[in-house]
Amino acid sequence: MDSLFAARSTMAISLGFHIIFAIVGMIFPLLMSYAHFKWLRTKDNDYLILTKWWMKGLGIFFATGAVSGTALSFELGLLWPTFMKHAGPIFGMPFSWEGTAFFLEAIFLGLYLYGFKYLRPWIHWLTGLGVGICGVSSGIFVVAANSWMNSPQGFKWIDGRAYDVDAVAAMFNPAWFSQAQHTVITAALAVSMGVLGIHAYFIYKKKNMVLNRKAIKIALPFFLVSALLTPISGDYSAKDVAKRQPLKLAAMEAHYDTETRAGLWLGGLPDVENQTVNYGIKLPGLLSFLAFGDIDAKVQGLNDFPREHWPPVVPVHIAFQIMVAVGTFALGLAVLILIFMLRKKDYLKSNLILRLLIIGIPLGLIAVEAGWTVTEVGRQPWIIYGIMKTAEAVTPMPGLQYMFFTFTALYLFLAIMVSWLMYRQFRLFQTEEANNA
Amino acid sequence: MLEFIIGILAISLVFYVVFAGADFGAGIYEFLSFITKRPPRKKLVEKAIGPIWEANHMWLILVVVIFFMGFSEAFAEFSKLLHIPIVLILIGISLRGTAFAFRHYDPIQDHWQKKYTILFGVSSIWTAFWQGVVVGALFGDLPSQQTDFYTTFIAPWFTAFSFAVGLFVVAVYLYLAQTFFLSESSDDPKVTRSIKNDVWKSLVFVLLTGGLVFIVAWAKQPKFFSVFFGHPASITLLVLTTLLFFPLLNSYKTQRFNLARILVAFQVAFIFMAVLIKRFPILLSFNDGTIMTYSSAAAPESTLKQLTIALAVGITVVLPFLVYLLKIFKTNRDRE
Repeated sequence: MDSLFAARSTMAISLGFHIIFAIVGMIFPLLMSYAHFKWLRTKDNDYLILTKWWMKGLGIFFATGAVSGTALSFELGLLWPTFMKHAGPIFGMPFSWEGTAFFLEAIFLGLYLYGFKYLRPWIHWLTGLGVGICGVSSGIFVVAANSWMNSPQGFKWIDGRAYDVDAVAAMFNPAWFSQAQHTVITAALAVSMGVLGIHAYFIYKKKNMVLNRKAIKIALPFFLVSALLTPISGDYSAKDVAKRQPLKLAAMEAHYDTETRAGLWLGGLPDVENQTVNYGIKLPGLLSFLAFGDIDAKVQGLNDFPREHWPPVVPVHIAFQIMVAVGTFALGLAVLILIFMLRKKDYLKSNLILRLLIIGIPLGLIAVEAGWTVTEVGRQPWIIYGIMKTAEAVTPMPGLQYMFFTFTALYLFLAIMVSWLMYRQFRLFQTEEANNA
Repeated sequence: MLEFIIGILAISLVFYVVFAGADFGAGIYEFLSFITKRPPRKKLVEKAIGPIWEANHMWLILVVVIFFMGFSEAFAEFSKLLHIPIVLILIGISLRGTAFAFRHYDPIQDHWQKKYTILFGVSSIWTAFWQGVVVGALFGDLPSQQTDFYTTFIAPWFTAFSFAVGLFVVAVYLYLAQTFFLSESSDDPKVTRSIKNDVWKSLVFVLLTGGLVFIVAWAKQPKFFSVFFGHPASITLLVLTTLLFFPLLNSYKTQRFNLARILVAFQVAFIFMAVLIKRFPILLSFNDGTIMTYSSAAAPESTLKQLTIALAVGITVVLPFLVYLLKIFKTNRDRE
């Protein structure tokens, strides 16, 4: 394992682990506040039970997200000191705002989780809502730092040094909006899909039906809205990538030769040596249309760029396909549920819908991982797109593979622990004891 | 601007040491009670740090953001050369925070509680110790040239002085936590008495490890030793710390534990500030005689301006809520 690969793998496992907890920390408090709101308005005790159950989940997820996020902020320096030395003053600004949002989030979380006995009911509710709002804000801020790596601006790069640094211009880089909107909308999709699926499972098993129905009713609007918005959001993102990072788009699509009326691959395994794609279906003209809104538009292929600047095509293409497939699945499921609702039929009596919801539990989270794979692996070999190569940024410290093993073991352990705790929670939730929680 | 940023950096560090330090101390204290088979302090720990530990932890985030945005060159060197102990700290922080959250939110209270407690305790000691080691290493000269693995990546922190500081930090955190606990335990005189006994023991531990730091510094780190006593502000702070013992002892005697808590917080803050002032304006020093100061490592003016704005706005927004949080949970009044 060479140093660069070990460093990249460590970063990948850390980010891949953290992102799950980060998106739960963004969206889950909003679901919880909605349940809490319903309890305050209706005084229906089921909503209180639900709120309290979700609070436990939030407590575990937030703590895990907070510590893995702390680790990440240090890892930026541990793994990529050369990058941080140059980039810190340029892209640090969104981190400073994220820090503020995160600080507030932690304060609100403390007030909320322990506040039942201490705060007046509506103030208490507000602190819960505050957790969600601050979570979403800190997510939006931190994405500005990542989008800067994709579309760096706000400095002049001369002889390996940055001059004329403008942190404001760097923060408001052109990729920020497109990445941030896609992050928030798909976070809502992934988290609401997970929550829906879990409660659908209990309904499928005929456990605690009344409570679980209420839970589904709370999460459903989040799911429907985000599932309908995701294709639009993804399309916007893809058009943005097509404009700014044509090479990334070419890798996403395993698109080798520049052509007009370029086709879009459905599935397929790229064979980079022979410049083909196996086992896929090509839809003519669709890539041109999706990237530029015109089936005759010219789409640049990988061969237009020097080979040493190509990102790893196979993982980027596969990750992109997974993301699109999950988005399509969610859209289909949302439409199906909407059809049931329009016909005034009970969608929770449909075994098909219940099964699809259960299948959906991990899919949103997998799509989020895939999405970050597209963003991050698709930017390789650059750490700052077009400016600094990842290989130039890596720390000279030898033996990075041990760091990779250490963090893999750590996150594996934490992942097992969190899953196990969730399992214990679900086991208890199935029984009537849930009502006494 | 630079002065403001350095000021906020110093305040954040001091707050982290005092508040998060007490949280670490809580873990250490619980672990010590656990292995000596004394009544567990779990309930007290939950009550004392449950609602606030995550907010306390945020001071460290603030520190790291100021460090890499404002002084990125120093941050890069620091991360490169102290890679190993920083990784050890991160492992500790991760395990400690999650163990505490897992214990609290595990829906089934069974034998797992014990395992979480052990993990929480061990990782608290572990993290505190390595934090001290890193602080100790920052007082030594870092290698300016990358040579062999040992000299570059181990030697800077593998010193008697660093390890002594590590032990001292463990002791200080423990002492902080116990004093903080006294005011949380006021409803049960028996618990209060037993914690009071422990406070004396850990105070002895603080003085012993503190003495050890000075002895090792005198023998191995003459720079630290001479300048620490050479700087008038540092001396003043040390004298103040010592003088604070008189009202502190009195507050123990008269059971005014909230006052004791504040006095001890000031003592620890003073010691830490004495160290920071002693080192100012040096951020890092190297074995070829070169140094990196706050101003030489500072980011361009435009970045410092943005950082100043963000910090000013951030602190203004955060502080009222933080005060509210502490007020709600530290004045011991239930709504019901």
